[in-house]
Amino acid sequence: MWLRGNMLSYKTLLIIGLLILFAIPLLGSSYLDFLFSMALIYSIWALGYNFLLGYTGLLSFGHGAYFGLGAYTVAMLVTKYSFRPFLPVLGIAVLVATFFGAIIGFLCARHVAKYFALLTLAFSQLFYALTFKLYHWTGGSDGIVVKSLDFFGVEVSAIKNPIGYYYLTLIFFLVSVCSGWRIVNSPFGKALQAIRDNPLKAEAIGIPVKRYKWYAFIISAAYSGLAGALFAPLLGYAYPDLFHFSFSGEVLFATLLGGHRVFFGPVIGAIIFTIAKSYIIATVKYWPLVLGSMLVITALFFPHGIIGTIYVVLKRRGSKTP
Amino acid sequence: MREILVTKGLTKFFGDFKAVDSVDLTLYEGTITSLVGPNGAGKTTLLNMISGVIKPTRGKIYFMNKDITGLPPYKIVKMGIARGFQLPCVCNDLTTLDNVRIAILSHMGKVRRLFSLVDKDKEVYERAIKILKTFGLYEKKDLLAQDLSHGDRKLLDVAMAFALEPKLILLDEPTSGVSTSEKSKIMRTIEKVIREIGITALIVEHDMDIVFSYSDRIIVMHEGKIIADGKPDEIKSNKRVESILLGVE
Amino acid sequence: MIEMTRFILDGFFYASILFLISSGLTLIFSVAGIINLAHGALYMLGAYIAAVLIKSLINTPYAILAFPIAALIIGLIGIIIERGFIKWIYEREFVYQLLLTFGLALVLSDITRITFGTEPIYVTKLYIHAGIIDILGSPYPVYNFIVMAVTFLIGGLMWFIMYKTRAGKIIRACALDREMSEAIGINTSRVFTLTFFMGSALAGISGALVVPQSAAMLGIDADALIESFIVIVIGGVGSIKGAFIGSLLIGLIRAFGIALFPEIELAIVYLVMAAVLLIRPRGLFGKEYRVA
Repeated sequence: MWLRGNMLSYKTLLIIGLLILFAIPLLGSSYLDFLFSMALIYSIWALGYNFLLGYTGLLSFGHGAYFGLGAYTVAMLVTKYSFRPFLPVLGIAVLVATFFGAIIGFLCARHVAKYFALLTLAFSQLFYALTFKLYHWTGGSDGIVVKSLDFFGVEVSAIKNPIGYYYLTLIFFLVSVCSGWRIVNSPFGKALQAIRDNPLKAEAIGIPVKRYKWYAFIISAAYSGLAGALFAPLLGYAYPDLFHFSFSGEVLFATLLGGHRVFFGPVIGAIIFTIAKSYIIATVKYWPLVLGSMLVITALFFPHGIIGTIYVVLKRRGSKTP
Repeated sequence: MREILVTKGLTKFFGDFKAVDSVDLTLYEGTITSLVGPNGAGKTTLLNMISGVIKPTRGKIYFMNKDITGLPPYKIVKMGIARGFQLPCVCNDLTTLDNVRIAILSHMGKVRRLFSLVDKDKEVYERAIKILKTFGLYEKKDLLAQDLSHGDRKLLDVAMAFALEPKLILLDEPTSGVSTSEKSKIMRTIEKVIREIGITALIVEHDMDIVFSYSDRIIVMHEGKIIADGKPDEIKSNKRVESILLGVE
Repeated sequence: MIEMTRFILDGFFYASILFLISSGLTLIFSVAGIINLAHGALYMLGAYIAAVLIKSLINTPYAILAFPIAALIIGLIGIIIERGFIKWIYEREFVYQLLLTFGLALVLSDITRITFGTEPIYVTKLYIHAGIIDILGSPYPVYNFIVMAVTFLIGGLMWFIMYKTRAGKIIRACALDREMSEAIGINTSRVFTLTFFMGSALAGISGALVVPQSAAMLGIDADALIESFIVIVIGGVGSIKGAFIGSLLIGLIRAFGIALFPEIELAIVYLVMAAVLLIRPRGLFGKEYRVA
């Protein structure tokens, strides 16, 4: 009885949440439009990230790389090569991120967890260094400014049309959530969870573990690339710090904040994180210090995250009813 | 009777320690063979090599006339060998139902599917329910594997192996850690399934009463070597086997 | 030919610094099982502390004390980190260990930035003061030789401690089998703390030693962490010999790369790492993994 009541309210919560998201622009503040666009972008990033962390059990410290690749691809296509059609640009950006995700994932995914984490970090830093070295092409520490894109004749600009850009982001967010949910509940998704729980048994029932870890990595990179691609026009700018390991820490924290063992955990975590970050950055000049401290506290005291802890508590109570 | 598994000179060294010493073994289709011997005799290592978890130092393994030496476990599984583990090896954060389902999905080659929903697959669900009922796990199908009792976790481990519809099944002490009253019940279930489908089985077991009750053949290992191999009556009357198993030698 | 000698010597210099920092990392990893992601931040902090000390003592003969003092301070910080934070998560899943040290890395590096500012600190005076020596007709800084000699000494000292003293034997026992060591009465938590002290001190001294040759500046934490990790990947975890060979390899590649192919020097290092990962995932001298 308790669990069923839970299911109903779960769906209700989702609908309410969706309605709130649709209603954000009605509040009439372009700052809020911007903030929530950013929150949804981080949600897409966190969703993709959690394929690896929550569902396959792999911890990556270098996911800023695929986000950054998505952002830089958009920036370069639009600004350097004057190629502005929105959907093709987005598509190419996702492809580029996925391509590098495939290569790096191949090198990393066959390794034991501790090596894996540092390897992902190393490759992200490689991109960071390359961005500076190849400054003729990438703009070096200045980054690349992104102006507007073109969607069948309509100008896509987050500055000129924040409401329009918000709804665009919302659409991609919904696509990501729906596709993500299907993947997670597919046979492949279950296989990933089996790998997470018991790689030995997973292999013993015929799952090629290393190969599937690689696939999970590729999918994760694709979502991260999409997030980065939506990010560049929003902020108006792609910059090297996206590849720095501290930026990768943000998606890790957002995911854990919400709870990495629940599907919507990362989404909620990302939204809360973005809002919190905007307030913290406005008041304090020590963002890495704050982020680092929050990571330390989470590691020590809140392994399940906010949503995760609620979920665990409810489950305990639910399974105690006869 | 047809030979289904043949090992030739199978040897495994761990550093200087010879765990398995030049084992020549032939298993015949449709038989249940027990593998017995004191701790450290090399039984689990032998199973590990056949199932691909460990690579042999020397020697070869042939399954249905194909050389499977050194292949990765998932490939060996695809060829028809399934494995149960000594310590229950299940996916803790998945439900009992999901554990069996993932084994079935893997066996049916559906595990690659990205966009279909597991819950909507009727055929897989029905197959899973059938297996759960056979092993007495149906009532616990929605429990997380980590919430099951030790005995049920062992059963789940074995059930997942059977879900793969193997031609050869390797079981490692399927009744260990289970209460004595349940032991024979579990073995009877396992034996029934094996005989009905005609699977070949190699079962590591310590409880000699159980071994004598179902085995077609008993192989005795000691210090990495096979020292006796024959029908239960022959082994029963073998004095040297008796002293080894009692730990006297 | 003269250039070649210079490159090789530079390579040995980089290798020395790398060897110190990566043996610290591999020591902590093989004994306590923790990859300390804050290791690079400790290196950077060591550099800044040494830089400031050298600058203030530059006109006295005590400037040279800056190095051991920096090492000691970083070693103590290592103890604080281990006792205050890391000891709580030894038994937990590795995800939380990595998360914790990652957070600590961010905190430490930002504290360094807040304390010392964003401008690099140079102590070229000391570098020049050490003098120039004539190698095959071309000048080479003496300081670099001093660093190589110090590294050699420290390496020798470590070898002596690990293989010839009782403490070293205990540490190695813990590295091999923690449970067994506990069972025979070794106080493993004290061993872990000691290991963190030693490993962090190594990071501190290598940061300190590199300052006169380049500078104490922000950003060297990430580079140091990555490079020492690459050394360990190539050389294999838990192997001092591997760290030695790996450092030599990376040091020489850096020296030749910076001089000959500055654009792709970085890429070469990563390519070597990728190649090793593909061909011999355990590294050149790595030991078989326990349950990781």
